[in-house]
Amino acid sequence: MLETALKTEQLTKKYKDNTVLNNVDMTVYRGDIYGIIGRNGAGKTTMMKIFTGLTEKTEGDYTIFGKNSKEFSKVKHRIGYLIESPSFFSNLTCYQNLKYHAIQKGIADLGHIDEIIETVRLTKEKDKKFRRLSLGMKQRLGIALALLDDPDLVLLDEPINGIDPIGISEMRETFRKLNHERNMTFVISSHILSELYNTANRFLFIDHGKVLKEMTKQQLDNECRRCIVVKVSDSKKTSALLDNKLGITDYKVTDNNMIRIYNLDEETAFINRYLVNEGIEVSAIYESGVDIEEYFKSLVGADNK
Amino acid sequence: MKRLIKADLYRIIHGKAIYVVFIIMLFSSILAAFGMSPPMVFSIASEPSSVTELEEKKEYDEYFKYLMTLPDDPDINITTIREHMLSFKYFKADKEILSGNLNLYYIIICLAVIIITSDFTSGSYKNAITITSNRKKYYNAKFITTALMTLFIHTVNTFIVCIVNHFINHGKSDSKLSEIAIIYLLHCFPLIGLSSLLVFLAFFFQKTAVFNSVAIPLCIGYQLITAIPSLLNIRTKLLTRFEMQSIISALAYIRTPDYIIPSLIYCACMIVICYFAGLIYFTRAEIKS
Repeated sequence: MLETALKTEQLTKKYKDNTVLNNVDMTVYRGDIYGIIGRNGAGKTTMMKIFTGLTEKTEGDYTIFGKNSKEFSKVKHRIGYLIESPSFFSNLTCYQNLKYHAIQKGIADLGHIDEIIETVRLTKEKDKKFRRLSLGMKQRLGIALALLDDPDLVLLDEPINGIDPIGISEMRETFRKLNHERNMTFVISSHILSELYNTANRFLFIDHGKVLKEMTKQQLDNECRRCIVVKVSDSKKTSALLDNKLGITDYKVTDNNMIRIYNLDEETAFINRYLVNEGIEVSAIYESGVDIEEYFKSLVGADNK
Repeated sequence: MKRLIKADLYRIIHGKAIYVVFIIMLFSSILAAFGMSPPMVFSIASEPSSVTELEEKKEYDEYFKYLMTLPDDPDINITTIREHMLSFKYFKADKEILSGNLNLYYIIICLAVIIITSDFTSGSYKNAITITSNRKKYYNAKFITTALMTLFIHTVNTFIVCIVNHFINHGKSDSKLSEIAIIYLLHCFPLIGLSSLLVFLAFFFQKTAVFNSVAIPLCIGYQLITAIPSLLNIRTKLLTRFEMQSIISALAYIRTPDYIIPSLIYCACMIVICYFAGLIYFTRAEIKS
């Protein structure tokens, strides 16, 4: 059974009359790269702040490695994080900023700082003052801080903002490498869907503080895959016809007598005509299949209805 | 908490601000020791209780008579003032400079900015609070660091004043070491009191610009408030009695328990009230982003 790294139960956060998080339930397993996808103001950062103790929850609870919010101090040493923009002292160099935090964390081996700087590709900028770094370099330094004491769980809030495409690719490889080699669990929030899709293996879609969907990458692929969607009166009979008569096996029966046919060799009109001729009532038939952005839009649109 | 303090000290040493503070203290001590300013704050304690104190008080009266002559004297210049002041038996330049230790208030503002508000302004408090997972520990670490740095600055300042005065005035205006030690110890209380007040203000306002706009005029503002009744000839002994400049100046000269003990109790109450006010506020309020 997979160990649960992070779990929330009915997590809610309210600021006076404004509900920022509304009964959020999510589960992150050890070894996941978990992507939280939402628009600006969806509640992603607020959630991260609750997990790191920067703000208090209003209702509900969360557990990190089996310890609830009251026992947070027992697991805080296992968490690394980058919340909002990276915050460092502008008059100190990259190395000095990391050393400052290493002293705070009680890290004895200061040689590890050079290792982490190398991991995020900041070796050349090691002795540059923070105020002289570009936005992307500042983000890398923030990620370096998150990884500083080899945490088991890393929370990253919009970590790739400002990083160039090559840098993004390198960061992705770094996360995957750490995930694979050290079994580090990552929770990454972003609104850059395509990049998160390439990095994460599980996803949480959130909008206006409410969970829209939680799914694995495979489930997301299935949702986004191009297909012909047919709503029929008798899904059992339709399945038999597809299997035996049309030789179509790549399909999936979902709820409410909906069938998703992934084999696109046959035209939509042909399938419609055939099913009707065989006495199947077809109440809807259309082509579907979206990229992740369109899928997210459809989720948000459906929720707004 | 020890690690937070150690990290803050590391940051202070690797910044420039603290060294600028030392240079300012050195420069102001040199100016004050060379200028040999006559004492501007009169002792407001009880009547002299010893022969030495009586003679000292007579000399103070002479100082003020001398002060009155200065604006009208066409031959007055720095050399004349220095000669005149060095001729007084009881006037000691280092004691006089140390009686103006309220100036350290502005240095403590710098410390509060370096140690506390810069964390909020830069956003790096997030890292520290998450590491400690406890706002109380964070607050206590900052409170202790600011107090320790205040004492350090006070120590360095006292040392600089004595050394500079000794060299510039050729030892003619040196106080006894025991006297300096007493002043140093007595001044710890009001300075830590001021440090506590500024820590509370720093945690209350959090951002450097807002904190500075309140802290810098605060000291002057209080002095203005106490000046208004005196303009109207209203008895102001209670107001001035517990005004920090008066306390710091008087503690440099007065040795009677009647004055010292209430002053130290007042400073101790200030430390306690400001500590708890800041702690309660910070542990309950949402951090301003």
